[in-house]
Amino acid sequence: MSYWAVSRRIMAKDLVSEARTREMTNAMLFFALLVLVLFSFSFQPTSDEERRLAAGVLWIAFLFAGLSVLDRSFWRERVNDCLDALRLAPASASALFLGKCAANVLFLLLAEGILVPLFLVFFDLSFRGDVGQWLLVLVLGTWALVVNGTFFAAMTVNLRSRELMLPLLLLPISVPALIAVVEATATALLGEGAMGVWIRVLIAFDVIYTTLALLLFETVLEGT
Amino acid sequence: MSVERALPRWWFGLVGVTGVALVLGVLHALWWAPTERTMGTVQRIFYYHVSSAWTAFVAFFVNFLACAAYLKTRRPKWDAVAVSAAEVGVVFSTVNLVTGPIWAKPVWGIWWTWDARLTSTLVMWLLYVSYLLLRQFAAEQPSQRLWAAAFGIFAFVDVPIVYLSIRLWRTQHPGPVIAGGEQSGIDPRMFLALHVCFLAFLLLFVVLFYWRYRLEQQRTELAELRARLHRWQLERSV
Amino acid sequence: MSEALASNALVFDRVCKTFGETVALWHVSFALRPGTIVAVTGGNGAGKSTLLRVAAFLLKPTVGTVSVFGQTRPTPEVKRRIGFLGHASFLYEELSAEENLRFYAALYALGREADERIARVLGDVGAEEFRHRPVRTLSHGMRKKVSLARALLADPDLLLLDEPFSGLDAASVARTRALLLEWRRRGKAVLVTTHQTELLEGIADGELALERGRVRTWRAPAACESVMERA
Repeated sequence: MSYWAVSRRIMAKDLVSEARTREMTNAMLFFALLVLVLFSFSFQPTSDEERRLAAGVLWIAFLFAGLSVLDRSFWRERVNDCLDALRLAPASASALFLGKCAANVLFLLLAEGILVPLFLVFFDLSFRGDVGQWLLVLVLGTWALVVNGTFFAAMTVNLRSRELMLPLLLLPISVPALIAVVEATATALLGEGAMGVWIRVLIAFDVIYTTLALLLFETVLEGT
Repeated sequence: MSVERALPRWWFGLVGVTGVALVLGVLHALWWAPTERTMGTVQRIFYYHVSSAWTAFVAFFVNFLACAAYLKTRRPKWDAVAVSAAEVGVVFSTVNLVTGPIWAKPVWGIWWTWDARLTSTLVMWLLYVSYLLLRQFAAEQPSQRLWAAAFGIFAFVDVPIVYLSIRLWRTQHPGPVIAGGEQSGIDPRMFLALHVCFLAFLLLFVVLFYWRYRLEQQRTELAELRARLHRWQLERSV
Repeated sequence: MSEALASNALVFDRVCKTFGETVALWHVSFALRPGTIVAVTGGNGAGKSTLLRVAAFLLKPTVGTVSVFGQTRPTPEVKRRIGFLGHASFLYEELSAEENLRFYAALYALGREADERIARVLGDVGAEEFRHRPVRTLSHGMRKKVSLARALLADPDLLLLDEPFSGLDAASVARTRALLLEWRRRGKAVLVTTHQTELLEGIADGELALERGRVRTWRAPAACESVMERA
């Protein structure tokens, strides 16, 4: 049984568990939808500037969804003390971490898949730019949020103030990635400008933080 | 360890030297350096604005090294260094963030602008305040200290990335830049004043850092002594 | 000393565990040899569960050392040889018993023999009938069986069981007792906590009686060179 088998196993476990209860997906979609609806009351983007703003609104909705997913990520292991069971197991901690990240990415992509069409409908927008490139941005940006978010979710799982600390830690760290995805989304909506540079920024961000997270996850857990 | 030796003699000496340096800094900044042609007297705040920025950065770099050392060696002394450096760093960073708008408003007419330097300073400040909050919770659960150290590393790695990404963003959407001292042809007396102030702030950093570090060490020692006393009492009662 | 350590499955050497001011364990010393069953007894709050958690490397002793098969650190090889049954079930509610076991089988790197081991442990504990039902629908006694199956999955050499009889009916209690005897016959080391000492009558070779974290009595199994002194 290799490293990847363990990762796949924990990803599958999270996906199957969630598919059967749908507790988290409901909360996740509800909050994100709420954000979109509330914002669509306040403005209908007609000018270019407003299209830029709309790009930001979309990612706020994604952030809400993402924080729901991440918050639950390690919390679901607390039921029946499964977190202890994971600590007892001889499986590599970083394999478990990657599996959790993979599951979280899939959940968030699912939410995004539902939110994007709704977004286009509510705000009466369409993608004038390269949609293919934008989808790449979507995936890279989602990974950027999830890789750090999963790390910080593990970090804060035992804290009383967990729900406050997670966004407090994640958002400042994610500023470069957030700038990149919002800019790229605005570019895609306006149909002018280049996404290439932002894709490169996201790739760099993803590589740096994935490496850091994998290295440090094992190191920290050795001690606890 | 007796109370008298809590802070060593050299520290008191350093306090004296720092006092002198700060006075010298004030003299340079407020008198000896020439008044800037366009901005006037208010420009003098620049000496403190930039010095505090550089000092904060030094502090956070120390935090980064200490976090790495703590993760590697697990020795509590490094954790004490990390939290002390971060706390003093946040103080200097706050000074930096406050002096910025005070300087900007009379000169450029705006309190704030999302340029690369200001924004990344704000993000850096947020990161380290978060670090301190996390570390605060770690005080109740010592096993959390390793996590705080990991976050310290994430935070420091982020600082240059934030700066670069905002620079990139600004090239696409140019906006006002509050000149933070791109010293192209700066008057030598101003150059001197800046570096005297910076040196004074660095010394102040060392003074405050060491004080905080000793405080942290004494807290740990006290907890340790309490635990030992408790165990000794239990031994006697068996 | 090191020879004795190596031949023992589990050794506690003057272990103390404190949580701030609270003392959970105080100078606990004993040794557990393979092929023996030791009962850990004591009332509520005596420290039985804490002792088991320290033995499983879930908690680090404040003072003293713990070694499992001669190792003082929880390496993957050591972890594979420990089977732990705690108060909590360690089961995922939405998954079936079998799915839970399949998950843990992957974590314990059972590979191709996973199917066989799962069938075997489910049979041993008597949980085959409800193997496909979600854990959320199982009664307390059924969950206890599945948790025990989980602990046995990798065929561990050291078994740490915290109150394995609680909530079980008479038939299941008898089954568990039979399992204990079988494990001893196969050379496993078993540490069982219980406050129902009568259930281990005729089975336990030795007894470690705890009271408020201290060892009240340590009755080592016969013909066992105990490394540690009595309290």
